[in-house]
Amino acid sequence: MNNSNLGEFSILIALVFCIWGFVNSALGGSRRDPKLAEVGRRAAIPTFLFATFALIVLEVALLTNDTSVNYVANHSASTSPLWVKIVSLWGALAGSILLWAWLLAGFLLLVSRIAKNDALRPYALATMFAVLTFFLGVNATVGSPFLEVPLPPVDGNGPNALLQNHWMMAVHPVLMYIGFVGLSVPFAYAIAAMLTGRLGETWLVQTRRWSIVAWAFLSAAIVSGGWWSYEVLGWGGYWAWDPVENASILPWFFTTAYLHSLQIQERRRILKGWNLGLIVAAFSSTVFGTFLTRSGIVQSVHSFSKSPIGPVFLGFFAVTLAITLYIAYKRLSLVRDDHSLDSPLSREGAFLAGNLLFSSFAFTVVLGTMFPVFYEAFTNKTTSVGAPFFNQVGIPIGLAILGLMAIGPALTWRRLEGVALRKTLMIPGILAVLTSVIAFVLGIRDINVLLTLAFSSLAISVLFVVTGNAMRQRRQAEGGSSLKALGELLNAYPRRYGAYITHFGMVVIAIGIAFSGAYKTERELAFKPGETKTVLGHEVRYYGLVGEQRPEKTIQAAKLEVDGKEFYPAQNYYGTQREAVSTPAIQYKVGGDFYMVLVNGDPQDQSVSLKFISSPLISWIWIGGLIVVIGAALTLIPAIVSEPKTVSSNVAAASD
Amino acid sequence: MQNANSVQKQNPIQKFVVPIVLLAFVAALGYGLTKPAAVNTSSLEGKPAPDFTLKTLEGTDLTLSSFKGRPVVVNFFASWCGPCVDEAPMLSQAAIDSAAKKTVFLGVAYSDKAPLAKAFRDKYNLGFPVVMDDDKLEAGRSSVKYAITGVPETFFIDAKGIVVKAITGPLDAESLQAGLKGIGAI
Amino acid sequence: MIRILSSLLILLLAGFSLAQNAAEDARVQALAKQIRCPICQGLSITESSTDFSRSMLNELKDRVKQGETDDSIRDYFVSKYGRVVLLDPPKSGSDLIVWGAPLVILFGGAAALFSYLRRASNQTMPEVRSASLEKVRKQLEESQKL
Repeated sequence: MNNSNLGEFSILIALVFCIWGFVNSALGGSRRDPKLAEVGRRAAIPTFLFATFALIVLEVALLTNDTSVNYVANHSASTSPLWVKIVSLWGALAGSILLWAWLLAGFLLLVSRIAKNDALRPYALATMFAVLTFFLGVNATVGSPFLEVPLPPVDGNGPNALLQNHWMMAVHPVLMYIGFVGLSVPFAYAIAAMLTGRLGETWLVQTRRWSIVAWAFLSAAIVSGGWWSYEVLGWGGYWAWDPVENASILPWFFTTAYLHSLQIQERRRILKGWNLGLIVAAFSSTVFGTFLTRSGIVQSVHSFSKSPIGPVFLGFFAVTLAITLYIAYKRLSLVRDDHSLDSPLSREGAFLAGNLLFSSFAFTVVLGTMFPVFYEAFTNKTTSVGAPFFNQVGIPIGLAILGLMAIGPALTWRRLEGVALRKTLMIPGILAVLTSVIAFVLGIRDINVLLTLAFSSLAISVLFVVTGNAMRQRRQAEGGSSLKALGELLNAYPRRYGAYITHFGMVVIAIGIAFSGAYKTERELAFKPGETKTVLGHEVRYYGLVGEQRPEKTIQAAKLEVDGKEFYPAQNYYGTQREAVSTPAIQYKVGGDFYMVLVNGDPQDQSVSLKFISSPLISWIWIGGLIVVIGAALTLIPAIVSEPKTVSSNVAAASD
Repeated sequence: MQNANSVQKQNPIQKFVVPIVLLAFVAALGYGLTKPAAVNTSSLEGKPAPDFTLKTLEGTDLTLSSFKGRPVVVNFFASWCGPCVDEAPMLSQAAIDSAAKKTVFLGVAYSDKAPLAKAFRDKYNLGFPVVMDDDKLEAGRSSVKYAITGVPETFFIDAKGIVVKAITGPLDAESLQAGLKGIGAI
Repeated sequence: MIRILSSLLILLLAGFSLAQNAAEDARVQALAKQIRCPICQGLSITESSTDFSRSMLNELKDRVKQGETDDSIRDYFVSKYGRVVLLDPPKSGSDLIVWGAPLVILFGGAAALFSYLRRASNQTMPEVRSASLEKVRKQLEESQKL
């Protein structure tokens, strides 16, 4: 049996077990038959095993350069380094669907093992089985990586040049897929909650951690993807509002809104329908995004070229929406919001306003991305919606979100007395104004940067004031040092302080975005060997061109000395692909990066044209991303609850 | 945010807003997907051919409008481009075949170096003048004037100086014949 | 005297042309940011360093130098490359949909949210007399002191 057959075979077996698991879980749920449900639950094991086996077969085929497998013939080459061969698994469409299916099978197995045995579980597992059936089905049919090549070529076509140019290829896509797949768990529980009519808080609480994990992976994927583009695309930016980037930010918007609004439901038992809507939107936007970028309906640097997978994903997207809506309309009449809000000026009010902003942002992104498609469909003319549009609409919304995030922690649940709010916001407010005044005096005139600075300083000082208040309360209640009080607080409310750290990370990112966006400067200069020039405040000396021939690529690099250190901005030529992939050289500094691109070089007289970009504070975006993920991880730590002794600590708990 | 409340009230209009909006969205996507992509016709077809003055490989000035009164085929190419290699022999043959009608063939080397372009011309026996695109001079910025977005691109210009047909991407025997016929070159 | 005057004049002219150059550069940058590089997705011709964008940037510079208006320069590029060459649709005609819809959603959503908040917070909030509120607060404070 060759690799092709072996791979196809194991996909089919996995598919059979998956359908078996779906049928039994669904029947077990609807007939309330624990035995059937158990059979369904156990089907997760063989499903995962055979999906794993399929993955291994493809990986072996890649590593042994078995070109009788079409995926290897089309997307791999024997000359690639080992790591490129390994990650070629998700370097093209069919393989990345397989990775997606495998991760989903893994999550399914995990849920089937650790989820609480309750009425929701069979339905949740059935939903996940159904989603997995789709992905395995795609792998078994239109998106099969295992088709047999009748006359195997000696060597494959090689992976996409852009993808093998950086090690981030090994990291970013996997993070993204884990984030996408992670969202299927809360989605599955949302469906289960609707089917069982148990629309209370149980499903939310049960899947809160899954949602946070998915969110953290999405955040990490987006930031790392930004850094990847920054490192390889050679234009000094990290985000071009490309359709695939837009597709990746949509689930993030919905999940962020969801993570905040679920807290309202946890506390006030309202917004049940809205929360269901948000998680369905988050999940279906991952499918929509895949459709968008893989169908060729929009042009994108990332799209793997047109493929028959487009209609299939559109169909899945439509079916998901149809089924969800059908269930929702049958069941949502049961939804009664038991409680109501006390006052708009409360944490609830802020979260709701945030919900509105995130949803509007998501809407804007969908609209901007899809507008050219609709425009072309109805007028037969092409048009484009680019970065300036998204920036003009997105920056004000982003600033409003930052502002809300700044005052949010100062607001308490239920309602807030104006006096208390004034007390909490007094010092942070003064600091915020002071920060922007100082920035103005120092010469910053960009209104967006000034607002970002004001909100950032407000956000951070509010976090300090609120934490300080909580420490004081605890000390008054239990005595001891401030440090002890802080330690206890951290232990007791990891969720709250994790969230604060995440907010702090977002502030760092916002500052990075604002400064690098507003104060990016660039110069393009021609150099002859031995010349030294001062560029944007840096001493740049050019020595000459250096070349290197590797099996898979030819490198042409300019040897530069910048501020006493050597840098090699380069252009890489891969195999038969003529287009050069430029590899910029970057001098990283916390205060601002110096970015060097080799635009072109003449091997004969060694003259080069170089582009230099100076971006202040741009690395704060990556640092902030790291802080965000650390904060999100902290929220997952179970709380060590020291018995609250007094009323005041109960109050604190309530404002978690 | 309305959902939770509005659904409770079962207001029939509100109830169907979400499904209808989503249905329209999916339908539009489906339409966009199945509809054939708009044919990328050059904005130049039917319009006077923009004039340019460029240096030939031999270093003399060549102005496009000096060929007015004769059919002209302008082929943008580059020595580094694969498809250009494929279509070069075809062009070379077509130039010979259409000589009777005084058809002018003109190669414009884009983003290329003169020695490389010369080697390309000699290798594929291009018996017609080749000029070097020069984006530093306004008169020579032929790539912008013809809005080319890649090589090869070929423009068929009739004796009146009107662009009759523009081919984006590589030529095949059929499109080359049709183009030549369209300008009365054969 | 004449020499001083003439050198002053030259200085003045030089300064004037410098200022003019700076203004021209700013215009070139502002315009070029709206023009899309035809072969790279989503990048403007200032950001991409392909030959195509380079040529287009040169063309744009010449046109600015010749004193053409922004609109006529944009129109020139549109006439050549089609509307796709503009990174953003113009703020007129049917394109107003794409600019207006986010605002409609944002403000419509805000109105909906506002009415929801009013309804939701009025429903179960019986008027609390400030006297009884004061009483509760006192009790709370006392219990904290214990």
